[in-house]
Formats: sequence, structure tokens, C-alpha cells
Amino acid sequence: MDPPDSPIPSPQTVNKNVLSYNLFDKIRSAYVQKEMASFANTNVRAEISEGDLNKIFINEMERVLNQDPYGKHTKSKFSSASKEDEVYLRFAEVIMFYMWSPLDENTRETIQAEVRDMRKMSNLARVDDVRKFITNNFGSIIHRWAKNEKLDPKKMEYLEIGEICKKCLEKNGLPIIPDKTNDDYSNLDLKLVLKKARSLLIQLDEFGRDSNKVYVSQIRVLLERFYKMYYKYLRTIPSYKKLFNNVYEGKVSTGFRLYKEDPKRFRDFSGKKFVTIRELLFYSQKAIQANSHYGNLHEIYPNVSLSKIKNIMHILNSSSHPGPFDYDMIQFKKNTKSFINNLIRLKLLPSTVVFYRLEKDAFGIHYKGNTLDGKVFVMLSQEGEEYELGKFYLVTSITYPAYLVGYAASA
Amino acid sequence: MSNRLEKHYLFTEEFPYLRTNVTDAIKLLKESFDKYDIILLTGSRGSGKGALLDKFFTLDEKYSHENKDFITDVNVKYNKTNNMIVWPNIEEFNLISSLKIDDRIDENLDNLELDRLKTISSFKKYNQDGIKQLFQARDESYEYLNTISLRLGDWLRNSAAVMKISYNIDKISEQMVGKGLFNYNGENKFTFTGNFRAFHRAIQSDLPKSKKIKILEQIVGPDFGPEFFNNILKFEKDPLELELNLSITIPDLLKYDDQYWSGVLKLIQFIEKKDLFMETINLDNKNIRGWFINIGKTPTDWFQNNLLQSQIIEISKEIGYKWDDVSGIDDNINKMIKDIGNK
Repeated sequence: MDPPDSPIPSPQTVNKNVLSYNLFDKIRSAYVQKEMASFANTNVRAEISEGDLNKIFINEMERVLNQDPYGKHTKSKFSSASKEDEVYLRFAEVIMFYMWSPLDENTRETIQAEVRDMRKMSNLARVDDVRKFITNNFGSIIHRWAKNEKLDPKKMEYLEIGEICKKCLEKNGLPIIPDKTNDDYSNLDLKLVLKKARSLLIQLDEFGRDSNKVYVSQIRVLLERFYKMYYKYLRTIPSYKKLFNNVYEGKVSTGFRLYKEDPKRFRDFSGKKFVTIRELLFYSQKAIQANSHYGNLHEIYPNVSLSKIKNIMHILNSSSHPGPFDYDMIQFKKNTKSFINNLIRLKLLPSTVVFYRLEKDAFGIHYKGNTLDGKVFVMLSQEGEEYELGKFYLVTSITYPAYLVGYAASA
Repeated sequence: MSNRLEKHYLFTEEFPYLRTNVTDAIKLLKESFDKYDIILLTGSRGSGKGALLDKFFTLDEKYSHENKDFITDVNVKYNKTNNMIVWPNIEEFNLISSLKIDDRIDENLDNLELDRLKTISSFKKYNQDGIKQLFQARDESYEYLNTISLRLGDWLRNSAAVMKISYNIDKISEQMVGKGLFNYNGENKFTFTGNFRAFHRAIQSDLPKSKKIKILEQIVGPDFGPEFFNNILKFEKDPLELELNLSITIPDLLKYDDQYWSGVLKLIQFIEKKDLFMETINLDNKNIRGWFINIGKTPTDWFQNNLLQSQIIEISKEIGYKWDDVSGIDDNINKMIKDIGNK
């Protein structure tokens, strides 16, 4: 196996197209703007330029790095660079350390000896440690940074600083692994979306109440969200995308029929239409069952009759329309709960949302993802001796540390 | 002494088929209101959460309360003549969010939770102002709250004393057998969800009897539901005797003593003098305990969340604490807090 091909720049060059430079630049901008604002109504403003403040920032960052347990060890490595470049390169390495711990053996030993109980080096992105490094040292500029990122200021009022920092990091491409307090991200978690919908069922009142319509309407919204995300997720896996293509365009014979407004070609289908996605999934599953050459594909949709699903969907849809809403809630609860449970059990349903980023290492170019529950896996974009294209592999401790070169939001 | 205590019963007039003794439950509620800032009262659907509270507040004038609705009046100014806020079933919190499907589902999530965040922020504001709050939720609340709102579920789980209503099914079974309603051979116990209100609703409902029975089978229990409802008139003169059991669980955050909190305060004051950025802590009134209840984190979690491990170890050295390599970081932080609290 070839050694990792690291995209980390050599000591004398600064690659401005990488995540760490982006972060450095954003922190610098926020720092300078905040300082400028603090001088706004004083005489000092006339005497201090943006360039001066930039130098002050570089000095401040240098001070921070000199105190950081890892940062202090980076000092001697980049002596031939300009001071600004040197500080940036040290910052970049510290950020990489906190995220991925891509340490050479000597440095690792030194750091481990100094910082007792340091967790085992892992290739799981630890965004929380990056967040801590930034908030501990530059916490006062986080609100300004959030403003520069155009994050909703109303929302920021209600968030703790660590949360705001996470949002800024996410805007710059760091994969955010949602923690248990992140309500927003729970909407990206396919299983949690389904569980939310299932939870709402317990609110339905069997004796009949107006609120039933509201709750059913919310269940509909959640299921619609689920379908769109699930479909979008499956479509990123080449073999399933091909299956969808064949079913959609009628290359495989199923009962699937396009609606009037659906485009004829699969590639033009945006994946926004709830009913088309539902039926595409249903008939694609039928195709898997009926055709032996799809035998290696996993079950992607529950084996429930179309009429049963349509009954559920009919009640869900009625909740979004004006007029009376008079259905047997006992039966609806029973059927919908069973259907949602079947969806939750699907093998290809990621237990949590997956955050991808493109990486290049010993595996070649591939997508690497984190799940909410901390699992890391890769999807390869090229064939390998032991790896099959388009399949996901869990990353274990035997894999090399990977270096982040970019990030794509969820699939 | 207990013989001299006045006994209290729930809705004997409104629903004469049950005689629900809540004497001990009232006593525990009173003690808990004195001790804890946030209480989560749970019980199965229709188990009597609201009725118990209504009874309690009519018995003791010391505890005045205001029922608030987090959907419509969460931000209405608090009426200072009351010393407690009672929130309706927290499951309804889910209704606050106006989830809308956007064309591009991944891009507009930031806006979805704003209302919820505002509401949670209001809960916390009441707590900051030192006003006690009681939340009501069904038994499934833990799992449920963590699906409708992770932030809220997490906060209540960590910060609230949780009280749970239950009924002794064996005793109910014995009475039903005694009244000749169940053939009991010692094994075939009925299932009972604890939902007594369902009978009240069934009586009032205009639905046909067969439909009522079908509903009761599902929401009360397949045997107990129909048997009790079909024979309800027998219980009018000789009601089913019940005791509403109330148990309480205290989260770690509420278990620390004053000395521990004094240690936390001293440690934070020490760290604040250092050049480290941390979440701003309002220590004006030195109510460090209240502040932690508000954020819903134990001090050990909070320190770990705000400081790198290397910084924590450095601080431990500075305050003269000898780090114990055998113990984990949680234990060490707790010992450090006790250490500085004793100084």
C-alpha cells in the first residue's frame, strides 16, 4: 500500500485553497473587524491601520500557538517562511492535529508524554477539539465571525458560544458531528426523523380531536423529509442510482409509471416530488426482488403492499388540506407505526446522517463520512484489489490517518 | 402520627367510580417544591397529573401558581404574585415548530428551530429569575422529548427532579377479582396503562358503545378497559380504591451539597482570572448552582466542555491539587472541586 499522499503544504508554501487557511483567514478578519470596531469612537482609530491590526493578530496567534500543547512543538519546523506564513502553517498543523491527529511518530511521543491521558490517536474527525481550541483562544470574536458568515443573528441570540463556533466551522467545511443537544441536526438524521414521526403517533387522540389533524400533518412533513433525504442518499451510491435510472426510464419492467409533470429522463428528475420518490423506491425494491442481477443489492424499501402504503399516505395528505378530518385513528396509528418501524429497520438506512468530504490518502481518492454515532466510513471512487466501487467500508484503526482536502455537505 | 394526617382524594365528585388517595403524593410534592427549582411530573396518559396539581394548589396557599401555555404566552411577563409556573403537557412543545418542507431540504434548517430555541430560552430565563417551574409529561417523555427536541429533553433530564405517577396493578386486580369481575388464577394479570381519564371521556363521548369499548381496549388495556367500563355503575356506591403512588428521581446535578458548589464557584473564579475564554457566567448573586441548572450540565461536564484536558491539568497544578493518574478525568475534577472547596 502506498504511503499517504498528504495535501498538507510543504513548509515554504501556503496553499490558500485549503480548509485551514480558510479558518485562519476568517478568524483574522473577525479579529481585525472587532478591534476596528472597538476603536471606532476613539482617537486611536486614526493612528491604527488594518495592517497594524493584522500584525497584532499574527502576534496574538503566535502567542496562542506558543502556549498550545501541540502548537509549541510546531515552532521550529517552518523557519524559512515569513512570519505570517509561519504562524499560519503552525495554525494549520494544530488544526489538523485536533481534527485528525496526523502526527509523525516523534511528535506524537513528545505530545503524549506531555499531555497525559491523551486519547488514542484516531482518524475520526474531532471537530469538538477544534471548537475548543478556537473558543478558548478567540472566543471574543465568535459573534463577529458568525456575522461575517451571515448566520441568522436572531438564532445566534439563543445559542451558546460553542454552538455558534460550530456553526461557523460548518460554514467553512468542517464536518459537524451533531451532539445530543443539536436539534437542527436531528432533522438530518434519517432514523431520528422517523422516530420523531413515530413519536407523534402517541399524540393522536382516539376519541377524536381537532389536534389530530395538526399532528398528522406534522407526521406527513417528517415523512416527506425522510423520503427526500433517503432517496438523495441512495442516489449517491452508483449501483442504486443505476437501478433508479433503469426503473424510472422503464429499462426494467415494473409497475412504475411517470406522472404527467415528471420529466422523461431520470437525470432531469430533481427528486423533489414526494409521490414519485415513494413509487420509485417501491418499484425499485420490486425490481431487486424480481431480477437476479440485482441480487447483490440490499432491501431498500419495506415489503408492504402498495394499497396499504397508499391508505397511510391518503390520510397524511388529507391533513394538509382544508375540510373535515375524520379517520379511524386506531387503525391509522397501528398501520403507520408498523410501516415506520419497517422503514427504520432497512439495512441501507444510515443510522445517522452522513457528512462526506473528499479525501486522498492510502486508499486513493475517496469520500469519507462521519455518522452521528461516531462511525467513520469510506466510499471509494476507484476500484481496488479488496474494495468494490460504490460500497461503503467502515474505517478501522488499521487505516492511515486521512487528510482533509475538502468537504461536501451531506450527500 | 400519620393517623392524624388529613387524607386527600382526587375528583371524588366528578368521577365517583374511583376513590384515589393522594395524601402521600401531596406530601412528596410539597417537599419537592421546597427543594427543587425544576420538576418534571410524569405519568401515563390520563393518570391524573393535572388533577393532582389542581388538588395540591387548592390545599396550600403558600404555593401559588400560574398555568402558562408555551405555545401562546411563553413570553408574557410573569405575574409576581405567584411563585411557580406550571407548564402543560410538554409533548405539545412539538407543535411550536412550524416545520416546512423547503425545496432544498438541507439548506434552510437553520430557521426551523428558532421558535423552539426562543421558548427554551424563556424557560431558562424564568429559572434565572429564581421562579420555580413544573413541567408535565407522559411516561414516554424521555424518549419522546429526545425526539421532539434534543435540547429540551437533555435539559430537563439533567436539571429536573423527575416525579412519576403510578398505580399498584396488583391491588386493583385484587379488587376486581373481589368484585367478581375477573377470573383470576394468579397468573392472568390484566394489563393496565394507568389511563383512568379515558373512562371519563368514554362516558362523555357520543360515540357508539362498541367503538368506545374498542378505544378503551387499546388505550386502557384489553381486559381492564372493557370490564371496568361495562361494570362502571357497580363502582358508583363502592368505588375502586386506589392509591396514587408518586416516586422521585434526582439527577446528579441536584445532588451536590453547598460545599461542593462553593468549590465550583472558587474554581471558576480562579479560572476567570486566567487569560482563558469561557462561557460568560453571571455570578452577580453567586447563584452558581442555579446557573448550572440553567445550562443543564454538571460542573465536570462543563469544565471538560470548556477547557482542553491539558488546561485542566495545568489549573490543577496551580491550585495545588495532586492529579490522580489512576482515576479518570471526571473523578479528578470532582476531587479538585472538593479540594478547593475545603480551602
